[in-house]
Amino acid sequence: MTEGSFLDAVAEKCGHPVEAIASLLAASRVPTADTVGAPHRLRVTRLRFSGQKAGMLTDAIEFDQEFSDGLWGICSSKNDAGKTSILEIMMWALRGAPKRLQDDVRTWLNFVRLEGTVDGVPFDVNFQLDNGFPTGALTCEGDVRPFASEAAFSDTMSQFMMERLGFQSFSLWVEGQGMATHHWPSYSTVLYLPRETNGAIIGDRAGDGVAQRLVQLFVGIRWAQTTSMCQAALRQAEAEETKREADLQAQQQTVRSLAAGSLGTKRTELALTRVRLEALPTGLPTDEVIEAARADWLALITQQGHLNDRFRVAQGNALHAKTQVDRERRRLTNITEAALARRLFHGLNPSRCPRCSTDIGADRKKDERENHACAVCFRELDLDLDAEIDETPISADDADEMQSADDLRRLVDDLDLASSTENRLAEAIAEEVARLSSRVSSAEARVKMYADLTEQVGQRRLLATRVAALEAVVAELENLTTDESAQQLLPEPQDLARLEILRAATTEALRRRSGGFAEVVEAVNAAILSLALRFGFATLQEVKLGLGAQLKLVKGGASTSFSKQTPGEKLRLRIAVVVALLRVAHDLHVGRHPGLLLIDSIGAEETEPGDLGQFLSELGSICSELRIQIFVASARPEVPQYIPEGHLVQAKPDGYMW
Amino acid sequence: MDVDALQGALRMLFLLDRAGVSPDEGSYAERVGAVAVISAERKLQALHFWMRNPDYLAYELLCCIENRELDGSWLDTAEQLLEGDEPELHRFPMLRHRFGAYEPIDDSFSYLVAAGLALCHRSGTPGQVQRTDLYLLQAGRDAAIGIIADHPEIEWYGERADTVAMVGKTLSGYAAKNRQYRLSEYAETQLGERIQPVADVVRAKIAEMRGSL
Repeated sequence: MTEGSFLDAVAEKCGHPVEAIASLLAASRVPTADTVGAPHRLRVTRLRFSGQKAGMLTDAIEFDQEFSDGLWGICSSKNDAGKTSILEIMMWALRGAPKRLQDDVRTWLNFVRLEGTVDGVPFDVNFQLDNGFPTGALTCEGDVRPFASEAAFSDTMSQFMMERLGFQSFSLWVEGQGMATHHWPSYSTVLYLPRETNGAIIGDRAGDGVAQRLVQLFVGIRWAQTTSMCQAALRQAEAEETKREADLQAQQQTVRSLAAGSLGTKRTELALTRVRLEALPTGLPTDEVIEAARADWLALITQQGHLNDRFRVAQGNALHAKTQVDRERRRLTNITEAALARRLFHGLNPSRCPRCSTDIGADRKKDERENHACAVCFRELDLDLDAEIDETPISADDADEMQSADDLRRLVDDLDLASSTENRLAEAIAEEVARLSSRVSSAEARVKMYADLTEQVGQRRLLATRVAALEAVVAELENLTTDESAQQLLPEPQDLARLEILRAATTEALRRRSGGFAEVVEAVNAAILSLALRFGFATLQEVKLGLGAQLKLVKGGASTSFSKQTPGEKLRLRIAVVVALLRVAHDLHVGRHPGLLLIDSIGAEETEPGDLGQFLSELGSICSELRIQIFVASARPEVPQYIPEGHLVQAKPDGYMW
Repeated sequence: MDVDALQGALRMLFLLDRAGVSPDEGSYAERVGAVAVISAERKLQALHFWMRNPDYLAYELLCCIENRELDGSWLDTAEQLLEGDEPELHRFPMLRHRFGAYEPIDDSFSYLVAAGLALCHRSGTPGQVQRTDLYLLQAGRDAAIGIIADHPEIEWYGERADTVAMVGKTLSGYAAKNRQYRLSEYAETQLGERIQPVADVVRAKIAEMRGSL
């Protein structure tokens, strides 16, 4: 029978990409290929233990027994002889943890050693006990795995058995508890059928899905592991989604009630803030207007600074021009006045000595006239003798002076003109300065006026902002308190994808597992019916094993179920189921039961010795047929006769097993 | 042309004419024909300083008003001395000498003497002149009157000399110097340096006085 790829089939179902599916399923430890494998065989070949009894009995304990394939009987004529303890110690060594070993027996023991084989390979578990706590090692083909605590012992055995028997851990979602992962301790329950039954047809637990899983595994139904892991992952995802929705709803409810609580307060605050805002005087300048006024003023004072600079330069120029013209005008005045003075003084003949104020006498004047010697200082006069006697009022010197005075006058006029020009320029700028100054004043006044309004403007801004914020808050709160605001409880996209993938994968796995179950179920049902009949369940007409580990029966023409049977019938059915699984597995080369069974207190519920004899005989022949190993413990006196020769472990003469 | 000396001669001519006093009857001055006298060269120096520095002259007017030697109407005169082009054109800064503003007046005065307009009378012995008095002759007074008639543009010499005469004619040369010292700027001027203008100080004082009048 050929099937397409599981991943492709899931992808087609849910529409998500194969890579996403592969990654999600790997994270959930879902195998995406069928994992039915060949059965492995577990055997106990020797059990030894020693210790010291305490209390009423103080004997030394010494037990040492070798075992082979087939049916083994552990028998005593009385109860409480230690048969169950032998099975319990065997289970302790195989599991790495005691199951129901009595506490007193446990404290009595100081050494346990179990030898066995897995698929014919020998292994050896031995441990010392100090107050019931183990220290020892597991040895297999030179692989020594020591342990020094209960936890380490349990872990060591679990690892070893899971590896050797080809078991994989499996996860089950338990409502209210979450994901539970099962290892060897759960698998090992299929080895042991203790005295007390609890309704499960396989293993020791009913109702938590373990039995169902064990049936599927040990029947060897294809895709059972994948289905189981898919279901667990899906149920976990659904539980998480449910919790998320519940959390979200709770959150929304909280938000709604909080919103409803503060809505009134916020509405009141909004109304009050509006009133305060409206109470402010109208016509307050806006921030823009204030800013524009400030900018205007700044621009003007900048302009004023530049203009003042220009004015200073113009003023400097004007002053410079004025200084120049003043200097030249003074020179002109000086020259003019001096010339005037000279003409005045020279127009007069010297009459006295300027030094001593003595009259210059007629003789001196005569001498000057005749000999050209100065009447005052006797020096020769520099006279032009050819020239006419001085009749003109202006001398040659005077003419020069007048010439240079005229030049100077023109210069003064030019400079005067330049000075006036500079002055006019400076005055024009001064007028500009004055005009600008008044503009600056009014701009400054405006800025100051606004500054006086700053507090009110700031308050208006604050209140306006507050009103806007409160309006938003109130709107949001109103929105939150209406039902329409309830958010859609849609899963997050990645959660939705996870759910879709897991649902598709579970559906596909279930489909494939159904196919796998259909392949084997007829054979299993036939085997169970046949075995039950052989075990003396004479009225049984039809058996139907469901995928959920439920067993439906038709007995005496009526439909019934496993749980409604008598304890003896239940025991027979349980053994029939396990053996049937072993048989089908043997015939079809599928299934995982290790082929070792420990059955406690067989026959305790029996009323008809003949039935028990037939049952035990059948068990013996099945052991030979399927090459399995079964231990039965019983206090029924007729049991030993049905145990193959050499396979009987009996109590010592004192009546105790050890 | 020695412009400074010639202008100085004009200033002295007008100072003698306006600030000189009539000679005592029967005095030597009267006998040699003087019509006006300035006793002691130092006084002429002091008056000449005011003649040359209108801002100092204005300040002196203010002092006289404060001392009630002159009435308040003279504030206008003081102001006019600082107004317009007056200080710039008709200010002739002097060097400060040991006894205050001093420039030898001999060169300027010699023009007046040689022209027969003034006389210089010294007392003492040669090299040890005790005192020099300055006399204006009638020819000098005639010349002063005549030149203004012919050249009205220099009438300010007469007006300035009149003002100087107002503040200085009752003072001895020594007293005039003391008054000039009162102006800190004047006193603080280092020996041999140009005397600094005080127009700004005077303007402030005028404004102050107008306010208090």
